[in-house]
Amino acid sequence: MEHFLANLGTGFAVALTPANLGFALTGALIGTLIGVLPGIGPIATIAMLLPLTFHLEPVSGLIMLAGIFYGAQYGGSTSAILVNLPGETSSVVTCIDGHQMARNGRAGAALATAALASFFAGTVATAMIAMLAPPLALVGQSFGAPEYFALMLLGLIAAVVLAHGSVVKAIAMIVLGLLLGLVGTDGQTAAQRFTFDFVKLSDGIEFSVLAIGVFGVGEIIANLTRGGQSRSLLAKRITRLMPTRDEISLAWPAALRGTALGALLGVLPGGGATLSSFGAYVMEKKVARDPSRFGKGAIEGVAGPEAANNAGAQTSFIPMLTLGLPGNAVMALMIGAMMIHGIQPGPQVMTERPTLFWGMVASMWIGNLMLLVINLPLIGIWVQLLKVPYRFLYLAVLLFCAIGVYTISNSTFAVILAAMFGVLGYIFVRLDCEPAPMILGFVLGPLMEDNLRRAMRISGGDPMIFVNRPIALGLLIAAAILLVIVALPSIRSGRERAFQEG
Amino acid sequence: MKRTGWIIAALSCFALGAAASSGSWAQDKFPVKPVKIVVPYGPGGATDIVTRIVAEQMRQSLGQSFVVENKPGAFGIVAIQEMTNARPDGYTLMVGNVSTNAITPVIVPKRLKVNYARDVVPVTNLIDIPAFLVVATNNFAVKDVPGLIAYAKKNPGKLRYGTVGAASYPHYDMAFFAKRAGNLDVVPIHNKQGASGIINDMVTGDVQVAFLNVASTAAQIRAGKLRPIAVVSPTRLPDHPDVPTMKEVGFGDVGTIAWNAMFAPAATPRPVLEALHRAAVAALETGAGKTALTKQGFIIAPSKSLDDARTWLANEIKAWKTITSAVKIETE
Amino acid sequence: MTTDGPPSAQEHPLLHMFRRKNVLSGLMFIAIAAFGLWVSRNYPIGTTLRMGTGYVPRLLCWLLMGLGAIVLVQGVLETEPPRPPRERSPDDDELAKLRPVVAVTVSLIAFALALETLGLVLSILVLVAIARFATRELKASETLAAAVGLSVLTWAIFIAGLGLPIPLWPDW
Repeated sequence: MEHFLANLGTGFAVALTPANLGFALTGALIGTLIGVLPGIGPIATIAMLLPLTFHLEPVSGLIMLAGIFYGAQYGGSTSAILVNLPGETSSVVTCIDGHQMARNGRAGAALATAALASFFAGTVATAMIAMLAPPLALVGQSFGAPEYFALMLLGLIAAVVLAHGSVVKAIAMIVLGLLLGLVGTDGQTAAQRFTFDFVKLSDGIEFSVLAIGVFGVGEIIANLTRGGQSRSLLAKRITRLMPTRDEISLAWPAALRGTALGALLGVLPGGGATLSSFGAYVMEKKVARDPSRFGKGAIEGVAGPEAANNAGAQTSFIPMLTLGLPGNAVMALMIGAMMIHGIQPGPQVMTERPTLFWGMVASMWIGNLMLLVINLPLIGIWVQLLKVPYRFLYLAVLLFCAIGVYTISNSTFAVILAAMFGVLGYIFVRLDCEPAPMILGFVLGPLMEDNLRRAMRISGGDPMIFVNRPIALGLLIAAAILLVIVALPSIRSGRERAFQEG
Repeated sequence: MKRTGWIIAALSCFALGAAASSGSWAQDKFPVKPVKIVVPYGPGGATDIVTRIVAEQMRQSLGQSFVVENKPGAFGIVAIQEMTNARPDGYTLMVGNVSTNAITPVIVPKRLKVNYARDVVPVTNLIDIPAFLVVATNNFAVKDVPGLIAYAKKNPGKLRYGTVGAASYPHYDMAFFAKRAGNLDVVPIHNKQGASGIINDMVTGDVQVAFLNVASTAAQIRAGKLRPIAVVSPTRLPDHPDVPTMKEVGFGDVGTIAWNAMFAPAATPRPVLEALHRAAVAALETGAGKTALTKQGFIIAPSKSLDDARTWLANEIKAWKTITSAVKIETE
Repeated sequence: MTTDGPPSAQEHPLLHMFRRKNVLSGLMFIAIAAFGLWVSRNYPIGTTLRMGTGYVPRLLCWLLMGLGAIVLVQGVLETEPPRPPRERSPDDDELAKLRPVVAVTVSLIAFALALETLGLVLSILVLVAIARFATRELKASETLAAAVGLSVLTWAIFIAGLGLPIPLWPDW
């Protein structure tokens, strides 16, 4: 423990120099901006800024790049809550209840909850990195193809819970998402599936194009059809900006649960982080006393996923810091930034470069604190934005969607695709088909197929590989239990309805 | 409503006029406006980073910005077509790698809407990336290439190797190796996450062997989780003097030294190509550019001249024609 | 279950059925599945042990078709709670609702087609000029103000701020 405090002391001594505080602030500000904007994400931003960091001290450069990464996680939820526009994979879930809260006049409370839950999660996850990084890294290394397949299957079953309407419709939407995920080149045979001879479709549909189209553009169309657009987005008057006492008492346990789940999933390099916010939402809905509030502006539906998302973002540094293995594209860039300075990321960094390692850990917490300091005062401004008459706001959101989609891969084809998905999203709104399960099916489908095929190759075609590996077996059993929990209420209600009609 | 239409139309005309008057009129001096470099991958990958480092140095020497534009998709087809469709004036270039600019034209020529050999010329090679043939140490006792071959012969269908996807160069390399070593029965395990994903598979013990670039493996080799048994490079590496080259172990033509090179539309005027070649080569040799590249494990490898670059690319394409016809990648 | 809009007195019952959300959802899923099956008609299916390119797509399409059928049947069978008759509001005018759908979609497509040849500023004008027809409430002067304001704002954020490689003006 003494050792630990001494290390942390070293870290804060590095992170608290005025220059490094400045870099953390710059990174957090840039990150917030690109997070709020749809499309352009932290990967592109960090890649563009990377050459700048060559001239900086290694630790300063890394502090700034890390600031961009978690700043983007904060910013992503802002546009999700305000205009139903998910900037990142993780903020799709925040759209469900966060935007609903905004419509109820509680945008301020939703934004504050997101910021506070993220800060809390960031603090806990940073402490976990400081104390438990090496053992947590081992968790990541025990995950192979069969384990990932089992985890994804669990996630897919959980997707049913995301919807608050008909279960059959939710399953149909998941299947639709799986089908959309198939678009592109078949990994095994290199044959083209559903690409209609468009070269631009041969790598599949980009996640952000689908999400911005279905959620962002679809929402614009839906709002415009509702009539009376001269009034602002708000159905009700904005009440106080901060969460009420009741809301806080609902939100904090949710943030706690979300943090635990997110921190664990973040350690997994193969797409575990994608699941964290979805998983947290499902968990909240299942433990809630009254699940029917979800989808109508439940504050736990914001607090849980936001905490999970930020905790996962934080712990995704663990494989990179302790093993030199990047869990995602942002971490790969961070490794590049280290290598330029002649630092070989890996198990040795902790012992050979203690100032770098602990300086970064300390700066993570400082960065999170800065984000809170930046974001809480901004809430007032963001909420004012909602008072802009919708006839102006929709033009701005539409334009930002268009530019955002274009910048993902500099493709005008993507903008046209997003327009199509916008119409689809509007149809979904009209028909009460909820898009969140579809998005999860779309994200998980290809990962599942890939890991299933890999697992079968590794075992030489023997399905016993899922039984012989304890973690995979455990996850599959959990999936089976969840399936029963999900199916039971609808079976029961189905029987009741049958009795009524009989 | 009508009036707005007119105002917008008038504004558009004004804008068009302004743009037209500032068009390119100075042809003799190059470059007079920003140059676009198309990259066939999203931001953040190795090709993107190399391009950004080179672009920054070229900006400093030529006084115009070199804008990196990521056009990912379809094994480089999107980017190649983007470049060849642009005016061949030297203001649209491409930086690609062995996959996009040597393997794609060989294995999917029909999906390219251009004639690669006729429409694309190399400006210069930029960097080479040496690779190791590495084996896992987790539950795997092989320590050298003969040992690996012996193991594969004794355990047909049991030796699993890592690749980054069907028909990727690590896939071809190992399949070619297996064929040359006596039609070994080995199983490819694809991991779309690239080198880090393969390394994870090797540490968990799901994969035993792979061709991986030297830089990605360094940390795990030091930690004893991976063991290099041969290096794909003309000479042994100074940092690993005890690791033999592929040639020394009898497989001189197996394994890919991955590269990044700069390309231009073939109809670009020769003086412009010469200017670009000089500037790109100079960018690699500047202090800042060289440090940034070599620190990340890349080897500076510029072509000596435009013609040298052309010969080199022709040889690369020929080599890949040989490999891809020798090993038919099983497309189940 | 939910229904969309009140039934009007003179409407035929069968026609009215097609206003139910579940009936329409079911039909949508079935239509998408049928389209998927048609597109994948030539994909090799293979066997369960050695799946071909078409195996998973066709399996999912059939699954979607089945689920769509269930939703459709649920929609047809659902009993509606009696609703008090009310005045037709503008919200019920389906034709008027097509207006934003078309304007928003066309504006995005036009923006996409314009961007790489006309540059960012003119494309913004195009987008605003078309998207304004999505609502009747934008005055002419407001449209122009919005176009100019958005051009400046996007330039400041994306070009000056983030340095994205988007051409600002046509490249002539």
